[in-house]
Amino acid sequence: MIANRLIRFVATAVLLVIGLVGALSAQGRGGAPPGGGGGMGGGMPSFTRLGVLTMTLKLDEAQKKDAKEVLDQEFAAAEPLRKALLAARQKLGAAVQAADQAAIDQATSAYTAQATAMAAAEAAAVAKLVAHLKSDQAAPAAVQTVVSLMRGALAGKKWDTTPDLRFY
Amino acid sequence: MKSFISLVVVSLVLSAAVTEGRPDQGRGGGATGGAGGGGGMSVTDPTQFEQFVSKLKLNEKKQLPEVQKIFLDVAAEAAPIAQELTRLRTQMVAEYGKPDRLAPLEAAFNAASARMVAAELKAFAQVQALLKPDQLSKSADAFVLIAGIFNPPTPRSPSPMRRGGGGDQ
Repeated sequence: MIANRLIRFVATAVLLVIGLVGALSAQGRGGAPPGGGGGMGGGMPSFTRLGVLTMTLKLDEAQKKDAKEVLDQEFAAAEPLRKALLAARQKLGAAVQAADQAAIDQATSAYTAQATAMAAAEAAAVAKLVAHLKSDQAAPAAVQTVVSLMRGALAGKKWDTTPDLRFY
Repeated sequence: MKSFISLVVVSLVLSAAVTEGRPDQGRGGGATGGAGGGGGMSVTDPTQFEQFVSKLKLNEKKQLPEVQKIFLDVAAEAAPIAQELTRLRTQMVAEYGKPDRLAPLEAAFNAASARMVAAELKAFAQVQALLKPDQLSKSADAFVLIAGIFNPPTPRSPSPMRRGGGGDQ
């Protein structure tokens, strides 16, 4: 129980620092998006997901290759989910614009079902990734970071992008 | 713990709103993305909030501050939901391959997602009240753009204190 709380606290604190430092460095650049620019202007460098995974989990070359393979496969398999998620969100948007409460309720149910399916696919991808790790690499805090990192990874046009897109 | 999480989310959204909430600064604003459509964006692409502001062509002096406040207020309310979604994701990873254990987690995730959508709808309804007819006509696209906006940002760097260096170790 205490360990779980500690992990949550540390993960949250890391997110806070990352977000605030990114935002502040963006402010210094005249309002550019937080964390952007790959380290330009003294801000923190941004990495793609594979870069963050590699450094966070200290992946060796073979593990890095395995991780890429796993995520390439999971991303390809998620194609129908991506389309369905976007379509569901667009339908919800249309219902909102029409101010049709019954349609909004129905579209919300459809959308959350797709969001859940996508989250399950991302969880499966993380689980497969973790299966390639050694025990000292799969500490709860590291897995927690990977879970956060992979949110939305299967929902965009590529998975190995700089993560900050929230998608759903 | 809850108040701390709320503070985190409010801080993040506030800083994002302050630094990002400028309509289309020549960075190609107005892109349609949202739920699954905006992937592959480069680090210089506009953020969700920038796209939202740009899509609706919000008035910087009058509408933008009010919209920022709306998002901040709702973000604080939605913080526990975001926390729950993250916790459920972690549990789903741990229970992967065990359908009996995954099913209730997915049901809980679905319910929490519905509460998050309700938060997005609440914020958007308040924004709509500030819009003019020509802006209201873009409601559907604008709502797509704020999918997941109350979730915390994902880590973009292995360590918040580390600077420079390449992608590998």
